[in-house]
Amino acid sequence: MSEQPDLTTDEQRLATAAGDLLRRSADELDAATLSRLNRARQAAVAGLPPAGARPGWLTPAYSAGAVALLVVGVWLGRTGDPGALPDQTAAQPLVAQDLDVLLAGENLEMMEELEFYAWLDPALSDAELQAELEAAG
Amino acid sequence: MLMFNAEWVLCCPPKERELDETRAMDRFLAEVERRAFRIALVSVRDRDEAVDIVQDAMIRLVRTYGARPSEEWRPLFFRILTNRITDHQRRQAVRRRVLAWFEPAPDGDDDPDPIANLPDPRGLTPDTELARGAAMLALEAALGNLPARQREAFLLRSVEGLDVEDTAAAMGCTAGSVKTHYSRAVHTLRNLLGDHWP
Repeated sequence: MSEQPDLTTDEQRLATAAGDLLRRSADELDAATLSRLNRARQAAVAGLPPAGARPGWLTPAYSAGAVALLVVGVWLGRTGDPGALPDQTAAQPLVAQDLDVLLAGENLEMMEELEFYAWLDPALSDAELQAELEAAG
Repeated sequence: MLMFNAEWVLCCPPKERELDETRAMDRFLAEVERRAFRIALVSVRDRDEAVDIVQDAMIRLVRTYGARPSEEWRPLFFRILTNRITDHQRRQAVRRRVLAWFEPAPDGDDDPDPIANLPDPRGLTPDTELARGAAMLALEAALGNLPARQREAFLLRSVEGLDVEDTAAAMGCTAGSVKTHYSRAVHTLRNLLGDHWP
């Protein structure tokens, strides 16, 4: 550290003594503080966030990006642009149908009786089933 | 070290270079972390907050300036550190103002006088006067009473040993301002600590 001419000898001595005292106390930090500093340094060097920090994917930038992707995805799904996404044009209606099946109440009831239909299928032939239905009117 | 030269870049695979840079950053941070903590502690007077501030500064340096030449790390690191300290002090000031709305108006006679609370070296015996503990307490109290910019200039120059130019880079001001802040800080410390310190 270079000396400043506007300081008296006494003031320069004080500045030197104060700096020495503070540096010495820095060299004699307690073990707990040294351990915390060491962990902080390791985390920083590894490029990892500190313990307890918010995950990277929760940062505003990432969240905004995820929302933007979702909006674009929904928009493309609604428009069904065949030129932009040729592979997805066939898949989109299927996804919509699947959603209809899953969300419709009567179909859910059907799924609840799936075991019955699974039993019914091998038990009756097509002709027998037709006869049963006709008899039932 | 982050000393890039053509031969080193050509002969060493990227993995080894990356490892070397990581080691260099680790060595740098290990070298400055204790003094950085001391500077933060003197400024914020809270050990947990001081560690958090140092940690933030380390992470910011690595993420934002890790690819810069290693010669630039020291002023950059202390620039980040002083900014973090300033942010913390601003938040504390706002918090105090907000809390003041919900507290009864203080009686002026009951205000603690920071100068009066300083340990008085002149009233101590020579043995105690020389004790490091008392000297440190007095110094910390006096540093706490300095204006923030004066304290920054003093700590960066006296504790970290930065020269005027690097201190100016760390503080984001001119070299002339650093000299003025530092000079005023030492004058004030001498007045606060008395003629017999340390």
